Amino acid sequence: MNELVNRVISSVSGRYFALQVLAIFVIWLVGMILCTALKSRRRYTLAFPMGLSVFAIEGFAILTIGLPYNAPVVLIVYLFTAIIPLLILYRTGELGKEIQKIGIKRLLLALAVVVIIAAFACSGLIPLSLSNDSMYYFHEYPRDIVYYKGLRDQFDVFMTDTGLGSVIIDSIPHLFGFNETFGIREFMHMSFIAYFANLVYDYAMARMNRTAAKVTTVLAMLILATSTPVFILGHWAMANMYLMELFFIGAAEAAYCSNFTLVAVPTVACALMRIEGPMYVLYLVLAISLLNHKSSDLVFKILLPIAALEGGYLFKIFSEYVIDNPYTFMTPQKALIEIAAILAVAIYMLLIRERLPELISANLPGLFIAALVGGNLLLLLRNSELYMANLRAFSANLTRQSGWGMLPYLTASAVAILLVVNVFLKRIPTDKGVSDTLFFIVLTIGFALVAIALSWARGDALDEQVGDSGNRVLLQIAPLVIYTLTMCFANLTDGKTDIASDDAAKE
Amino acid sequence: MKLLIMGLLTIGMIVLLLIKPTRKYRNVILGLYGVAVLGLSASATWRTASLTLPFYYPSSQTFYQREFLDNGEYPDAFLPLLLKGKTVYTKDDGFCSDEKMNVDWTEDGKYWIYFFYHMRNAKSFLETAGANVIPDVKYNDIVLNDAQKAYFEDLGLSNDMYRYMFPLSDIEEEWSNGFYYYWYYSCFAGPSHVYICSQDIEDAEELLILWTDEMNEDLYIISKDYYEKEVANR
Repeated sequence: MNELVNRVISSVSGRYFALQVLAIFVIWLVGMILCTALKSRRRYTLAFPMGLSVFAIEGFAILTIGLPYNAPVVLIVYLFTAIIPLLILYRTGELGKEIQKIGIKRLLLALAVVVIIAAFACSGLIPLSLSNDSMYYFHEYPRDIVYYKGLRDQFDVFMTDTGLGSVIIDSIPHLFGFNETFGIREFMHMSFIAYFANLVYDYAMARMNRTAAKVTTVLAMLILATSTPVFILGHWAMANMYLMELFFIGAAEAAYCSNFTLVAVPTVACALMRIEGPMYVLYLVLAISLLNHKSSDLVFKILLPIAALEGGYLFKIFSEYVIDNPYTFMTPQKALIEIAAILAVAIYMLLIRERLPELISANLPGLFIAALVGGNLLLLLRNSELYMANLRAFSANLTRQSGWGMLPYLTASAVAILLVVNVFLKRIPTDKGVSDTLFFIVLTIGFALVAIALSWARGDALDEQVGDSGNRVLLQIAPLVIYTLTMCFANLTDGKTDIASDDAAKE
Repeated sequence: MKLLIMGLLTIGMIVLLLIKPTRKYRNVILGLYGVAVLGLSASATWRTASLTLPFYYPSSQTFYQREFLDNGEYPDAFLPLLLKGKTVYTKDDGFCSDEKMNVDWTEDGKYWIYFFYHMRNAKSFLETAGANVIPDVKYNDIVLNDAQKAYFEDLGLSNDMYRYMFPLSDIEEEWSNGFYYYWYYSCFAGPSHVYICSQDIEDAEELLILWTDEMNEDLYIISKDYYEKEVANR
């Protein structure tokens, strides 16, 4: 049997490898064209997440509208997304300027590097975890969707419990003639780690000399890549990696970039990755509103596309199909609450946000956290048994190593150091520079509170194990924690100021 | 131990960052703290990750990993690789027939429906795996004896494979719920296996699928030619 298995696998693996590398290259190229058109500062590392996000959003739209979900339709729609900005770049002369700026040789070298990294991602040299859900929710279900060219009654268990966005990514091999998405996942994960490093370097360079910035970047990147939650989620064929990474990218782009489309695309895609994704993104949008982005951008580029896509999808599955499985995570009632919540936030953005009294708008970060704590307290009062059972499970998972490694202990240590040192040295800036630090602090604390609240909404108590969906969702907080702490520690360094004068000034 | 190490590290850092003789080296101190954090975090991942989840090195470019065979897992990830493009002959008895599609699905006591569902879904699985399925009454009454079974090897447990066949079903009124299939394949039915006779199977254009026991749960796959020449008369 071993020989048969080896022969069958060997007969297809070469072709599958080449096709997956090609798929990665095309997705990166589409993302690169979009990032160039949108003038991203981090285009090389953002290209793949952008390309993949667009693929997920368009696939979601195709399935929701009811167009045939097959390779020609998906490919035409996808390539159209790249051709339009490419033509605009060409017509405005920007394309020529960009190529001239980069140089043909460097451009070809960059493309060759992408192919080499894609080949490495597909090589199987990087460990990957597969579980029952990987097999059925993210391999079999996408295969079924491609086979039937769309959704159908019989998918009810999957349609109500699985984020369609990640399923669409996992349908790529079934659409284009290979077998799995492990290389695509690894390339996404490597892009994310490189993006994180890019972000830390930019942040550090604004505060310290080049050498210190490089050391900070390398350390932060390695801590992220090797931390147990990121390692586990980043190498487990599930939807959590996509939600974790796109959530962070959406937040980071909101904090540092000027073109809002670069915020909107990964954020909208993030909402589609898990069935409860829109609720996390709603919180992200509220947190982004603490920054200086226009309300109209938040509403028309993030909230309305999510309401249209997710609302359309939920309306479709509950109106067109017979959903008769005894347990579903998403019910018509929850769907209505979700869409109502999106619309309520949109109304807040358009009608209330800019008319808030000074006293409230100046204290919004604290009020957001207070509101989330209050909301959690209401849930506790509503069903204290379930809420406490969930808290006990979270606590057990944190301390009994359900994929958390040393992160809870290291976070406690880092927070203690930052608090004590800040009391004496006052190193955390409170001027303009605090806005992005505060934004990430609020985002991180709020993420944990939203995760606890959504776990309550699941209806049954969480389990004490790594694979429990509540635990996996909470593990997604790791990049936010590591980046926030990196920012705070970067503010503790000597920076570009002279040590002696700094101390003298204090004395 | 972890708490002790982290406690000492934290107190040490606070002292070094606050006292004047060392404070001026705070970039170095923070760098060393970063290295310590990296070491502790990476070593915890190194020690615990493989205990937390099973990891594979997926060089096969297929979802099916070679380790699955050792563990008897996910035969349904392998079967499409083997069956794609082949003509597959199956039996064509009552459980496979279209006649039973026109029944009152809601009526109680129709226990044959379990087997009917099972067979329809299994047939759909073969079709969606890329096989051209041809039901043939000729194979209805075949029951493999022990001598014949010796030609086959076990690919693995197929309970989960059957449990998740329902999305492929062609039954419109399908009950289509995870609970029903979970109950059927986890509690009601016993362990089911997929067996393959590897002789000539890769090159064969025509395969034969046999379900042998009363419940139609174990699946036997063999080259049609090889079965007729070597196995049928045993």
